[in-house]
Amino acid sequence: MSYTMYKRTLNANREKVHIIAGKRLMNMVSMIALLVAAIIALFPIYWVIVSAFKTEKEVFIMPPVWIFVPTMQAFKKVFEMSSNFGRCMTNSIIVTVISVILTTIIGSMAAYGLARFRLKGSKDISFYMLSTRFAPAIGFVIPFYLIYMRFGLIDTRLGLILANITINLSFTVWMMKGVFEEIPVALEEAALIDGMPRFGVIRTITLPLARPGIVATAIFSTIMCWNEFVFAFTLTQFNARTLPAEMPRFLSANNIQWDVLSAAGTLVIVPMLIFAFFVQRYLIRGLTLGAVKG
Amino acid sequence: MKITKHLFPKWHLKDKYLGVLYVLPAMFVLLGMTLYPFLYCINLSLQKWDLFQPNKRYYIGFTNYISLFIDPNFWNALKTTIIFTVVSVIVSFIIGLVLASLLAGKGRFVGAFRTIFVLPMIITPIVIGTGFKYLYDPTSGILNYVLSLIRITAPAWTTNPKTALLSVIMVDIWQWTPFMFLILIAGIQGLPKAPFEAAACDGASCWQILKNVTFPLMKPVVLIALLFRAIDSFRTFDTIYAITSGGPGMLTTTLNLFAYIKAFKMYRMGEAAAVAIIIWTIVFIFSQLLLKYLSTQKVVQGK
Amino acid sequence: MLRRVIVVTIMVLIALIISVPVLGAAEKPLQGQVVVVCNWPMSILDPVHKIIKEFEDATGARVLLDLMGESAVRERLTMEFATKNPVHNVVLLDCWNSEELKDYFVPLNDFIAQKSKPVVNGLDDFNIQDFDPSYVNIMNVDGQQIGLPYYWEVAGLHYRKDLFEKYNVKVPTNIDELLEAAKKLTLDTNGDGIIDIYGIAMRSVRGEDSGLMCSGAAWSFGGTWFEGGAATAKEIREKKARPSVNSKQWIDAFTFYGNLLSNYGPPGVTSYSWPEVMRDMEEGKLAMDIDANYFVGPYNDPKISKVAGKVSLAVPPKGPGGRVNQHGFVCGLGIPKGAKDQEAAWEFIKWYTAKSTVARSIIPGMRLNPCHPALIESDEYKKAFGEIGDAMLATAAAADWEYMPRFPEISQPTFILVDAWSNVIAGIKTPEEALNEAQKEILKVMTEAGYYK
Repeated sequence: MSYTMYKRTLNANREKVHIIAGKRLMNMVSMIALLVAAIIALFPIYWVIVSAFKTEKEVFIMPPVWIFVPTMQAFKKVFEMSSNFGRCMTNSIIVTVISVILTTIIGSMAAYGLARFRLKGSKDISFYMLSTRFAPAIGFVIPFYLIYMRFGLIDTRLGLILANITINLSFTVWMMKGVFEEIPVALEEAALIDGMPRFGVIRTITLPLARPGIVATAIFSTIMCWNEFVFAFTLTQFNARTLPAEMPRFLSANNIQWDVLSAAGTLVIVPMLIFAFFVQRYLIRGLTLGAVKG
Repeated sequence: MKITKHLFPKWHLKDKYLGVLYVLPAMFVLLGMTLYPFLYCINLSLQKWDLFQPNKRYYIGFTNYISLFIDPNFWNALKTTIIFTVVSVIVSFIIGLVLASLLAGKGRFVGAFRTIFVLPMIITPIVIGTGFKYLYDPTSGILNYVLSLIRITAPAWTTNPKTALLSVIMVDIWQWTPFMFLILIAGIQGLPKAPFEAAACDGASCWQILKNVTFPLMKPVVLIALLFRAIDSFRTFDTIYAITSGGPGMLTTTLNLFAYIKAFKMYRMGEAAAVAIIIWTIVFIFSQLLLKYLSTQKVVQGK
Repeated sequence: MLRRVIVVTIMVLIALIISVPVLGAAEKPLQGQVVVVCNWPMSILDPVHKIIKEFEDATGARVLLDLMGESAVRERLTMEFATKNPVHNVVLLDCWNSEELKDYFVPLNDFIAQKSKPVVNGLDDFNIQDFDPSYVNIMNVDGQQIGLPYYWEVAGLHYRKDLFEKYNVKVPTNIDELLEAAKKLTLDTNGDGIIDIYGIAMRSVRGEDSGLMCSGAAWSFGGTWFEGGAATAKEIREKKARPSVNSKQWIDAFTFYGNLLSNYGPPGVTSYSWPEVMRDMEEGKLAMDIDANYFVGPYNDPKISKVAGKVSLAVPPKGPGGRVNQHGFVCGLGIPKGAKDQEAAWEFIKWYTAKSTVARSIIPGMRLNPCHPALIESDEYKKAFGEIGDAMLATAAAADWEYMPRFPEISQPTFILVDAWSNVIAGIKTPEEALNEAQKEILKVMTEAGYYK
């Protein structure tokens, strides 16, 4: 089968779901169910963000204040309490972007190797990669701290990037393995026989077909990296601190200031919310293409 | 039609060693970063090391493990963790399945709803933890206020012994149903057309189609989703710690929190390492079993 | 030509001679050193934090304040101690586990003896004699002074004097009156069927905070941790004093307070630590609380509290043992072993705890509890705080620092006891059950540690 024919069948697959799902969205009952679920899903997020714009007193009142004049005083206090906050934001962005790029490249390479080459013990290798996910954070925290101290990686962005890659490789490799296994070998074979060099084959045939899967996996990795807390908190202080790790600073004082806490939380989650809004589509499309078969 | 057979064609044999090259960077990173901590942890679990006696650090073999096995708190934590994981995974699976089946197709609002249902997974866990702690608060939290409007006197969710575990499970479900939802949608969309057409031709009812066609075909997808979710749920820490700190009493103390308490509150590092190794072992055994089951499923499906 | 050369040379030499003292003076004593502080924030310390710049300008050292939540601080420090690789060089030292951590701190004895003079003239007036000796001694383990105190608190009963007047309730001086007052003042003030004001709240959450609470409660009933009231490691070893946490006094104490808090305390009280107790009082939801005495400052600060001006402080009620509920706690700063720039760290600690620096935070921060007796007895203090100041002194006088023993393995029994306390208040276990279990576990810990050989 040729490359273009394969692409056509992929597109056709997306159309057929009516038969399988057997329901149409406009059904009244399902609509109500969806709305209820949507409210449950959105409300905590909404509440945190809204609380960020209230004053200290308003945020505590029961019954809650629904209509109020939004103020930025909580945000101002966030920056007062944490002079580092701006730097944390840039750190989060830099660390996440680089970690995701590296994880995706290294992980996809490994996945390709496992999918296409009959390596001895490839099953064990892929299980080993999965097993890096098994250990609880507490098992890692102290040894990592020790290693990082010895190599001078404490409070460095490089250190965090390494930790993020370690955490996310398992998921990336497993997802991408499924993606590559779905792409018919015959396509690559045909091109190779025509005399194209191996890397050219990958670049012009495999990667474009795998792209939705790569994008989806990268999106997952981005979310995981941005939200990573345990290592970010343990292994950094000031220079390389990321946003989630800065949160404990707002967690205790004479009085828990929910407004400030919500403001800080809002600043941490809003970039991801915006990100999600734009990429949600690619997530599903990428996962569909066999990534989930494992 | 999807090609699901997996071939190792002849020309690849020559490049047997090229494959190693592809896998090398990933293995290098993983081995380098995880081997030492893992060995360190095992090593530590065989020692007695109480932080307040830095000079008395010595090997005691398996004593840490033995003292854990006779500690009722340990078994309590294990039970709590299992309940937490099982309930969270199953309920989020069911909800995710219902939502996925409603939103797998096309429709006017499908895109909007999909975006909405993806969001809880994206929020930073520590923000969720503190946010829900605020929501659950009996005096200034909005959940009990809303319930009081419809005349239900709600309990103090996170501190009432009867509802504490439930309250943290609910948070975990809220947070991770999107994950199930996404994978299940992808799974549904990836199903081949032919069996369904055949079943429709044979005049099978909706329920029969569901039972005999959809479920078996979805099994590999479902199992992978369950595997990842179960592994992660078993190791949950941030949200539980933020909401209840393992209390009241030890009612919401999962194994992970138990290890944390041993290390950072009781200063018994050796025992904490032992708990960590036990967690690791349980997850290891569980995944092995699940994956073996998965590969037999692949054979049955005629791959 | 030659004359010109000589003139220029002389001018250059003069310029050099003049500039040397200027250059010398520009080199500050702690130039290039960095002080990294790890602690948790308190509003009473904010005025001091605002003037840290003066310290930096004078000494040339840089100060980085790493302030986070209490448990985050303790986790962080635990890890740095465990790996013997501290990043911070000025850290929190709690009094109750100072014995436990003594090997991780640099003894300050030499620093105090030799370097009491300020590193820059006029920067601080540190003098070890200025401190209240009991607080200094708490930070002294086996002759090693491992920290300097900057904060102390003892138990105090806070009460809403407006409510007590309005409902004609007597301020309790013993526990029977306490129970009555709590009962009378758990009220529904606006008739909507929901209780708005709760009689009393105390810390009950798992964690080290509540350890002080339950020990103090038991103390007031006449209970002690160990037989015969042994309070130091030496005494326990010598007398082979076994734990006595399931004695009648302890059970009675737990029963009483369990009853009190579950009936007259706010619904979530089992997860309350001090921020939650403070919050409820500041919101006007409590009639009483028993907690750190200095809270009365923030409670009456109109910037923070809705009930400013209505909260008074009294000595906590006496238990049947005739003793007052205890909860003494001292915080200090110390230098972890292996930290960098120890000289700068010491200068910072000196400056931070010196009388003149502390004096500047008393009025702006409502800092009722400096560790310097001279400050408390000063006219300014009396003028600013009047009645409350007297109450502070009264509570301090009623304090009994023996209520909690001090020995290295203290963290584990504390945790076990707090577990029991938390279980009792939540109604999960009866006091007998909880304390009998605790007794067994603590006995095991002490035996393992070799106290009864």
